Amino acid sequence: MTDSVRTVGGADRDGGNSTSANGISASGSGASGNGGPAEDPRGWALPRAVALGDLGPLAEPISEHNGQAVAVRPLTDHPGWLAKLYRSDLHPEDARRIDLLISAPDKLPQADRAALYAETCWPAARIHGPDNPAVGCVIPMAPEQYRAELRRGKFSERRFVEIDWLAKSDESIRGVGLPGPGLEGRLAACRRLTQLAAILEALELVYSDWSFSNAFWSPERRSVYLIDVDGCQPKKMPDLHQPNWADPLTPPGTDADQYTDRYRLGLLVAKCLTGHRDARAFHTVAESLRQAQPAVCEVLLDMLLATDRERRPAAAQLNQALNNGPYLRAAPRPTRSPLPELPPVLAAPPVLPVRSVPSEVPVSPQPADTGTTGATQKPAAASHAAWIFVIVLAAILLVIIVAANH
Amino acid sequence: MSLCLPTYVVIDASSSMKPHEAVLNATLSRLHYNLATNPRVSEFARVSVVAFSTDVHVVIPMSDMEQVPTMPEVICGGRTEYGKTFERLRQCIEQDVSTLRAQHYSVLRPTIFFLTDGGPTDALWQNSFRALVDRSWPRHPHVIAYGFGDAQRTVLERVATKALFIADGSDTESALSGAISGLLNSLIASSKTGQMQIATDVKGFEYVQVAQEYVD
Repeated sequence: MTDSVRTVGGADRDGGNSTSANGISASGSGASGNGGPAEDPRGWALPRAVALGDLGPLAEPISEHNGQAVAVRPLTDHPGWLAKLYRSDLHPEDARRIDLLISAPDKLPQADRAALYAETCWPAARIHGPDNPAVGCVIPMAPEQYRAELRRGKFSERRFVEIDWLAKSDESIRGVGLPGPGLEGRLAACRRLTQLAAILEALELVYSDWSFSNAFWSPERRSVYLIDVDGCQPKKMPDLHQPNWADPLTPPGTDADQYTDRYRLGLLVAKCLTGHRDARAFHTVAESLRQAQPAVCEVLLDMLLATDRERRPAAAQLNQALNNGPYLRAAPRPTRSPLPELPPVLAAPPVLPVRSVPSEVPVSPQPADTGTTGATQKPAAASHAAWIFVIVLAAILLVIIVAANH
Repeated sequence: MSLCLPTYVVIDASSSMKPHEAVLNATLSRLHYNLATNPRVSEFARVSVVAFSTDVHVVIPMSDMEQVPTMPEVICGGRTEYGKTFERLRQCIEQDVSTLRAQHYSVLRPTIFFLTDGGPTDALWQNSFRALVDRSWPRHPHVIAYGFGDAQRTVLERVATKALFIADGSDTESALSGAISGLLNSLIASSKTGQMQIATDVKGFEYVQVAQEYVD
């Protein structure tokens, strides 16, 4: 899939609404204009612009004060749908932007539209109030398949599994009771993620919020579900700062654009494919992945390290490479900055001498299976050292025995 | 370089906490679960758990809590020695910040969450405290204090440099649970923005804004 394969109509198919160069509907009512929108295949029954009072009762918030939303509340009369209510400081033009988003899938090929509806919380309607054209929007609830039981020790809780988990080792993932994805599971999830990114890029929408927290992951189905897509903006938008996701070539204070998105998508995919969250992700891509997935390796390294941000390959290129397709790179090759320096190997933290403390102390002995509180102390490491000791001891004894027999 | 917030959860484990020991341990285990199953938070907030009474014990050294297999049980008893605690915390911070920097982290100002149900039993604790929060020491931490039970508000007003939470009459066990939830919410919020964010709406506590960094 490449940029040229995707065609996004500049004209409004629903008729009636004029459309600006960047695709924003000028009517303010989006696709719900004269011709009316195609029926929402997800089953949203009301118009694409709906008054808050027409939604019926709102249930207790499932989330509050998160990003641009003051609350996300289930719609009692519309099971499976949520009202995402915005802060009051949104600008009036956000109403037009939300309308653009709601109608955008109408312009897509069937497969892409189906993907956007099935794998993102794409907004279905803009909510307006008497004095506010953008009180919020209606979004679908994430499907239940993205919840799982996360177990650790004696605790367990069923909750949404953020894609955060994919950027951990298989061992860590299994440690909370989820199935280890292996490389195939990681590739499958990243294929879905990059397909969605390619669709957004084809729609000339900037997401800016590519990170661990904005996608759910289903280990069982190897699928992903993108959230907070109602924040997308055409062409560019204020750069949403998130720690550890800063684009080194997008200076602070400047807008995020498609090139920022490409860097963050590359970073997310590199972390999810390798299970590393730091510079080791870059090195693993450059070394291990080069053997198994050479095209993916090259695309990712260009996305992450190209010194000219406009030479970062498109999301569709990465998606194509992840689907075992070629990387069609324009000549000359983009120059790359060097790989980031690897962090040193972690030293074991100091060990609490839990069994030697005086009697009047507040800490009890450790559970027998751990022995220490050392965070990075692994039983395997101790066992390894013990084996080395045994081998050295055996060698010394052998030398003594041989010497004694001469 | 990844951002990292060195976080110290400092718990009063003196004899006055003995009746609430089971709840204290359950609450700590719940904290461990919540941190260990939120990779983004445990990556950002490296946590050390310190229990103090007559002596000070580093229950969990500075760690990614996902890597900590289980939370050790704390057995309460002894006096409430603030001075030794602040002294030990200074040593820990000095060492931990160096270790994190060596691991290529961009280290934010350390934050101490100080949970106590009583006043100090040592007279000279303020000397150690001054050394801990001395602004001329580049690694001086923020201190967020949660007081409940017989905690002394006037003392905690001197200890808290960033925020103070005083139990609003809730029983100790509810207050413990509320304090740990508040602490966790602060870490979650901070991990999203990359800077210290304090969850001020803590069930069972009155939030007291700290007007200055610390009071001599």
